[in-house]
Amino acid sequence: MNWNDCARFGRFSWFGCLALCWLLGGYLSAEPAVTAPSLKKAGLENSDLLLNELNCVACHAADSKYGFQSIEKKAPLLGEVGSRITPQYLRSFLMNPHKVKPGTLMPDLLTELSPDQKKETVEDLVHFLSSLKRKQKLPALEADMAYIIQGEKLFHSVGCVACHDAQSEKGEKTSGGVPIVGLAEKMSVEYLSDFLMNPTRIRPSGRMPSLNLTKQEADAIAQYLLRKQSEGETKRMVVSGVKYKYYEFGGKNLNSVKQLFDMTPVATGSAKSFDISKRKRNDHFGFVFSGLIRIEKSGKYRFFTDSDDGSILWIGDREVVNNDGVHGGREHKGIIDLQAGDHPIKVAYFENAGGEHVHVRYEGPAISKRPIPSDKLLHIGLVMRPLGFKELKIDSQRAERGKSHFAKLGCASCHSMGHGLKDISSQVKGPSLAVLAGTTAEGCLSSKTDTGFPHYSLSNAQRAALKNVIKNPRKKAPSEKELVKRRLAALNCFQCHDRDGIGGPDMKRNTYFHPMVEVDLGDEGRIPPTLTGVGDKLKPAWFNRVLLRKGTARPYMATRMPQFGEASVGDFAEAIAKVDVQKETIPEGITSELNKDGRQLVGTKGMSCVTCHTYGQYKSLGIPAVDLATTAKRLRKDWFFRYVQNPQQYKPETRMPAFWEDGESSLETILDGNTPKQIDAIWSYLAKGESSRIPHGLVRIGQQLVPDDHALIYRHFIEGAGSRAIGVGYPEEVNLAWDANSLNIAMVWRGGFIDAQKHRSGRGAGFQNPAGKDILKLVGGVPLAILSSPDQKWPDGTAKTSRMGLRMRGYRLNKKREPTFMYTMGDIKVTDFPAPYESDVSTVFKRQLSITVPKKTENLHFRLARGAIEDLGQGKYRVDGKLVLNLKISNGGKAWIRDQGGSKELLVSVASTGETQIEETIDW
Amino acid sequence: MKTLVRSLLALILLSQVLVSADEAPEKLKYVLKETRDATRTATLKNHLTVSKEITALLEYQLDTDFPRTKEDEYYRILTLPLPEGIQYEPGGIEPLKNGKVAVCTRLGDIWVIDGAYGKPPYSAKHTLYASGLHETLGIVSKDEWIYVVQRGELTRIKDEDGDGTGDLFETISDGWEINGDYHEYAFSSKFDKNGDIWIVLCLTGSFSSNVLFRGWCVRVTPEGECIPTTSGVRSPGGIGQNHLGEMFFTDNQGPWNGTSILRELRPGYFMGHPGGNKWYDQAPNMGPRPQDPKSGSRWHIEKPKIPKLMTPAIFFPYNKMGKSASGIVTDKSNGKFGPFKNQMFVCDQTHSTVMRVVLEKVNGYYQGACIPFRKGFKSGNVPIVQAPDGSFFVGGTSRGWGSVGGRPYALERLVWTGKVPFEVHEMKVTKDGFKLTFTQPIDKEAAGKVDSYTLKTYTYVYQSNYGSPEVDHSTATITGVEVGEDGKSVTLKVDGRKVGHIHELHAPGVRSNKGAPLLHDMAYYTLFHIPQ
Repeated sequence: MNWNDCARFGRFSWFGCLALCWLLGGYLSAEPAVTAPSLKKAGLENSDLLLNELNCVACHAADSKYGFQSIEKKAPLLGEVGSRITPQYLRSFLMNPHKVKPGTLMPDLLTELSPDQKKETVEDLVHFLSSLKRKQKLPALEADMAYIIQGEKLFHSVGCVACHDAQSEKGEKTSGGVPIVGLAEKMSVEYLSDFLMNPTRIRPSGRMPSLNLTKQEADAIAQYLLRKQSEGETKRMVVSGVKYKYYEFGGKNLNSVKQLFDMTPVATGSAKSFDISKRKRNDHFGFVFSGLIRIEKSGKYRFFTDSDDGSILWIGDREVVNNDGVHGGREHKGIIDLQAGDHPIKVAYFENAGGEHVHVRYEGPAISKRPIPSDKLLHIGLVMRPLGFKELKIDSQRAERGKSHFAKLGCASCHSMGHGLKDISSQVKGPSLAVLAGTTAEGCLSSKTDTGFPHYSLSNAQRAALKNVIKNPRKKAPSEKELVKRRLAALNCFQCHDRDGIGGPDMKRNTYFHPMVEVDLGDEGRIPPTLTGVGDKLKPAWFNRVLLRKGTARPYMATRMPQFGEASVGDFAEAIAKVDVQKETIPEGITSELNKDGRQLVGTKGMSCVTCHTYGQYKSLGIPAVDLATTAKRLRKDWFFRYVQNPQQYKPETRMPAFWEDGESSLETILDGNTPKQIDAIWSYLAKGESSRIPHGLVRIGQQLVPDDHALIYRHFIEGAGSRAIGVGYPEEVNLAWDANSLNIAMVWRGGFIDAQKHRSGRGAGFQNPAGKDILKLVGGVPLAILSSPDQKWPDGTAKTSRMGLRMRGYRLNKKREPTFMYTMGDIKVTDFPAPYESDVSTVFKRQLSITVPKKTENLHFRLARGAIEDLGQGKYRVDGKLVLNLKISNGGKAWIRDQGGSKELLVSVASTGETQIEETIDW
Repeated sequence: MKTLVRSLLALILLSQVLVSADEAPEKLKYVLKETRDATRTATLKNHLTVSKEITALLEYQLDTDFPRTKEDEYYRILTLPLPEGIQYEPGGIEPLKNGKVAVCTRLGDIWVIDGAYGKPPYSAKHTLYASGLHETLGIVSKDEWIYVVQRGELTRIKDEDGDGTGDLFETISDGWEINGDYHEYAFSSKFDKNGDIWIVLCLTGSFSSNVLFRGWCVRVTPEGECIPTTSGVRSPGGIGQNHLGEMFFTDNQGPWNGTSILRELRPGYFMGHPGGNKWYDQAPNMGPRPQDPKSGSRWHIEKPKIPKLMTPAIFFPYNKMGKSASGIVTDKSNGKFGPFKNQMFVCDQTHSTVMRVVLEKVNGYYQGACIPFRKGFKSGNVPIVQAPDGSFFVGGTSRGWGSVGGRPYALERLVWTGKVPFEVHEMKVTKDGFKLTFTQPIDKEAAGKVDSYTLKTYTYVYQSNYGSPEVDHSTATITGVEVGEDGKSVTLKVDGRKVGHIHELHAPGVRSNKGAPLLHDMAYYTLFHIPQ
């Protein structure tokens, strides 16, 4: 029934037709079977491919007349279904497959039964299926909000959204994806995670491919997809890993790890092992881990701890390894006899300052020294369970009946058991396709649900397509080109890639393709590459590696190239090469071993390919474009020759410039500008891969700036001194960085000035650390403020954000090119002249500050220090035990110390008019 | 030495007679190269030691006599020698009144060059005037001051003690902020007619503006006041004025810029990338924040909804004209640079080119055509400036962004040889088509044929994603050609022009009255407004 049928009712009225449609709504709104979404992109959704996607030949024998190429599609293997899928889901799904999972390819096989009969049959099947358990039960996974958050991110970036619809409220709404429904009722986290790790283990036909997830990533996505369970039933269960308590102790140092037990933890949680990565800072923290350790074999066990600072390991009440106290990394051990079974284990660890680590290892009977594996550590944790889950007590009689239904109904025609179980042979054998071609009966292709035939949820167009192919099978196999397209469509390659104008992510899905980090590669950094001519481009060996062994050339892309399995793509590289490879175009007589020229062309003295391309382990000078050292391994030489002369023709939106536009070289100085010779030289150089000398200009040697006979200025992003730092290096081997945002000396250091390499190579991203030693940050912040009361807080922020009218005015260089910094606050003028000064024992800074106040201004203060300040008398102050300031102040200005927020501040009250001079010696 | 050089030149002149430049065109290059090599060998035969200077003079003369490319015949690129071992990456160039040239670099050095105008410039001498500044990408001089823009401030520098190096560094304005991201570049203009310097500020990255006025244009008055001037900037590559003193800038392909774009920086307007629009509350002079454009739309569809949106004056079609538009200069030499008086020239960093831009104001907005002009520069062109003698100085850098030229950096001069190339001089829109004028009289018959031209149109998606493919392709039909009475122009009647589209014109059939084809037979007209 469709609108055309309506139109055939002669003098039909719209009303009547609508009423009829409403009555028949069940049929009209039937969801079409969801086949690979890429079939639609390729215009094949209503084609003869359906015969295969629906696996019609499982029941209906196909004779030679139907011998066109097909891509075999198999139903899920059911050998472990009783562990994977809950009884309640099996029950409701079998009762009404098309309603529970709209678009499912599985037919309803129970259409001829009365409701009561159906219920009984389904129950038998559920008992049978639930009895098919996995040999070794998977351990439960602890519910973890952090996983759910990570899983959400992964789901929307690694490529799931290419075929499924986006699940998050945050991004663009997508549609037309393969539905994900009822998961929270259907599975538990550990089984979903196991499936995501290796989907072809359950679904052998690769329509759901592997995205090369690590166990942890699969756990995270599984937790995210089943997040509804965390709001439902959770259960306390033994899970792997340990619990931890996390402590922080600001300012003071501990002597023993046992001091932790007197403190209150700032966070608690669980971890896979004795892992301190969840710390929130790198100094002054501690962990106490506790749980059970599973010992498989009784005997003598040695435990080792290597920690910085101290740690203690207990088994039960016994202190087995004492590695306590303040120390750098060191290993201690202890021995204990343990019986097979689970024993309480506890490890306490703390860190004062400096480096931090703790490694716990053990050895014992048949166990060489190793970290204790996560699955040997246990604790009680909260576990998410499928919604509405009730353990089913298998009734063996029902199970036996179910098994016989499974064979008689034809479930066994499509479903194998796999996992080493013997298949059940189906007792259903439908008429052959050739016989069907001669009948008019509709059978499984009827839109009615009560025919007694298996019922598929198909659109009318899909039904028509199937009827058509049965009646009019192809006279000959599709062309090789068409076969490639069909395979790309069936495996959903078109969801990410385009080829010959078909495919590529749609506008909404496009937004879910990201680069790993912002790399300025444009769409090339996030959208999978075009497959137009890919067989011409890639060597089959590399293509196979991409398809079958996780080969990848684009580490900057967040979306991953899936793995479909040998069965689906084993011969694909050859098939696509056959279609794509173009006629050889390399001019004859070009053979060179011109390694030297090639190296020069690739490097900064030639075409400078390394400006954008990485080379093996060496980063490029700019963006991280595809690794050159893999060129010859991946690409066909002939394609490479054509590509570099006209990149745009092969990748319309590429940023790669044409260095040999119209065959003309842009560089005449190497090989006389001869285009084929130059390209060949590059090829032969790159063909040697990483074994040859790396290209010119890639290795960065430091560029230490050394002030020789005068001071050097270096204005750039300097770590510790902000985005407008003015670094000054003095020949006396003391240095400072003045922060033009806050108008103050940010820090001082001794020895080397600064290495300019970072900022002078590539794009110069990032903050550079000072080169020398004794790096000391000074008080920072704005130097000058009007305080209306002695306890008014010193203003936060920079010259601009503190809103006191402070303005940077610049600096003047003297003959030694030492800067005198200048700034103003309204009409108050300040000059700040720091310069090296040889004291009795070392070189220090002597800083001449001049503050000129033309109009009477009360309560003006200059801040010199903050921290633990001791007044040593005679204008001397010690700050934080390290820095010593020595002050001389003119014009009646006074230095004084005040308490501020648990700390002390050293201020100078500036005279309300005239010029106040402060001479400050800075020794550290 | 002078005698020696003269004798060399005599020899060269003699050999020039052997080959004329009118040989078969496809072979020409190779024939010339052989002749050139033979001449070089013959000239140097009796001289065992040849100094750098002589080599430079000889190569210059060889290039004059045997131009390497067609373009070389009309506009020559002279490459200046740079100090050994110095990473000399020009960010801005300023010809000084005393015949010297000042160059500021990405490393934050300021160099003053003596002898930059030499032909060839082998004797150019570079003196370091200042160093350690923060990635200077704009330079201009007034009186005894040199003004440069650093990432975080506009600074002026003076040599107070007269020893040839700057001593006083005054912060004129720091009315915008930087966060520490390498994208946060600042490009500054020359002075405008009010004495203001305009500064275009790149966003924090491609998409966002993390601190004040990233993604804006500001202008700084002589008193140091910093006035927010336009929003909507993404990643500029250069800023410059037309002959009337109106300011323009180039913005690079990326989010909200389907390809590189030239736009007028009209005060109060929104340039198209909404990433920095959160700063409207800090810019009361700019009026209310405009609504954000709809991603996936087109500029001409968004313009009526966002009246302050500045429509692109020029789309530089991606790859066809370049990949990264940068420095801007206008020929104000009144003929010293050839026939392109008052036209604008724009660099492309990736392609190492200088392109020509012909603008006109239609319905109150600038639009026009871009036409290839000169390729073959040695590095990735960024700054460009016109010297008093009409020639251009062009600086190049390939650091971080590769260029066809390939050299890590270069400083070059583009000089008119005095010969006028046969080029499309102007392309202007008319009520029902386009009008082309040429630099030389045309063969009226060839130019009068409809078949001598092809015209197609397309545009880019205006979207938050990075860049855009060419979209909405259509063919515009040339229904008639009328040759102008001046014998130097044609008027094309066109059906199917599309607002918001590039109109890509090729004129392979057009010949000069001497039978020569156009040096560059294409022009790309960006059409947003049609005169009524």
